[in-house]
Amino acid sequence: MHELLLFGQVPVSRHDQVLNILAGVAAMQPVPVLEHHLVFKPNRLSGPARPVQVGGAQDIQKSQQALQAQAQGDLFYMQLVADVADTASTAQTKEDQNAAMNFNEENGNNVTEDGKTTAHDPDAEVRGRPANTDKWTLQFRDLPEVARQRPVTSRLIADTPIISGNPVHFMSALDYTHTATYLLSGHRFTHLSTSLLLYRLLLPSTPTEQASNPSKLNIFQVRLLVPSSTYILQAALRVQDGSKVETMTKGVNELLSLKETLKGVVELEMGERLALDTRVR
Amino acid sequence: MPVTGLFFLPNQGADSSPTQDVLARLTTHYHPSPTGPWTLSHRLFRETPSNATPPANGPDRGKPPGPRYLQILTLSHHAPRTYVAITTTHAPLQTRAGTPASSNISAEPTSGQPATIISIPQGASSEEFIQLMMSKFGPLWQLRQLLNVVNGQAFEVGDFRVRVGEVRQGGGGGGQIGKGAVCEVEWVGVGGEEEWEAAGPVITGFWEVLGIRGARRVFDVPGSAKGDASVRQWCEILRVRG
Repeated sequence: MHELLLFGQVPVSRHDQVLNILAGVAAMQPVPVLEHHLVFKPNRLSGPARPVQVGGAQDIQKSQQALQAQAQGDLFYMQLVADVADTASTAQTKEDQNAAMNFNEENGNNVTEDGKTTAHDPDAEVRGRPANTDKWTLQFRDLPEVARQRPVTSRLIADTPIISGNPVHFMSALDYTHTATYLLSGHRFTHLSTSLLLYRLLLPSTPTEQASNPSKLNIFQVRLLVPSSTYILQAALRVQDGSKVETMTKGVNELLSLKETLKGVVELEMGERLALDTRVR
Repeated sequence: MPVTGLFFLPNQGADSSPTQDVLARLTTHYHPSPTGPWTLSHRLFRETPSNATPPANGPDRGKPPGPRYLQILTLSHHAPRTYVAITTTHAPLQTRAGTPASSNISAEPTSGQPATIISIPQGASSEEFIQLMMSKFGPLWQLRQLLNVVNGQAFEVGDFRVRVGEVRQGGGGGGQIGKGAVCEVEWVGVGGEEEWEAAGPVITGFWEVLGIRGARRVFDVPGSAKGDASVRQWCEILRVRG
């Protein structure tokens, strides 16, 4: 799937005004968004794994070259994203929120030493919510294409929701290491086919806890990534098949007409290509 | 929770049809009632070689790690999920007879740690994930094998559910090479996790009545206690073909 994007900046003093204007444009109330992002980096260093062999028959050299050509591709950062807005808004106490963010083994069951599983935590059920409610999505974002004809940022994306299993274990089995955590907090609107997201990024302020269990999050102890608390407005449009020129052009035109509509309110521009680069360097 | 055992019969030659053989014996010895078709699709990715050092501690200490595999498995009777499993193996020369591995053929790498399994929605998401693996993950994982089960038929025999199908290796274009027959015997017992130990002989007994020789049996796979045991068995039995 491809994504077409435009970005704008909104200073904190104008946040509420822009929120109201967007609500008018999209004809809907803002939907609060709170996403927990985990960033993973591959352990493998990119580059040839074996030194190039000299000699050998032509066939062997050709197949080895093909293998090495594939092995020398780029490696990308990946993200695990969980939508925690529901659990954050419905939880009543700090303990509830901590429990809701927890990602226990075996989908909420407690695994004892002999490998047998016991029942759900009875306290969690009394509160009316199972201990693990996070739904994680594996997110992949490619480097945006070079801005040749389209005046918008265009990139390949893949979002894979994970139904069962432990995503953090899966990432380490894939040979990826967790490098960073952040929270995305904001509001979402939908206008025609475009998704508008007005957000800012938050960082956890307790780094020690993150190392042992990355999926645990205490949302009461966060700090801003950008101290001036500037918000970002992201207009994103997804196209199922990026190779169909017609659909891509339709998408570009819709984004450009949105840019016209919001002229004077927020200036929407292309993102800087190398700033959106997810390759490992 | 139903307990399953898997049996694989490789093709013995150009004329052998182990699937027909199994079906014939099934109808001879039991009274199966058909419950409809089933399908399977399996992709095997192998880790791109790199310089890896043996792990420093744990039960695998000192053994050079065998290749790691990423398997994407879709079973029609586990819909709407597709399973993605990552398995680690030992290098073949290091395996001992006492390991709980299932392989009877000593040249195959066997499972070390329990596999890490997640499931993703079947359909567009899983197709997208597979495309992603093939196009962007070349430096880490390379597609090695594509297997499908065709003509899969499921039957119910008393407390057992039996699924028989022919395994074909898919390739580019229309060429499909038959590899053998696979049979999943599922015993719908009344117990929970504790039934696993007792169920092994029950399933073996069921199979032995059919009197088929040369089947490779997969039952006890590392990590079965963690759940998804049936999926782990499928990953084990489909991994070492070809």
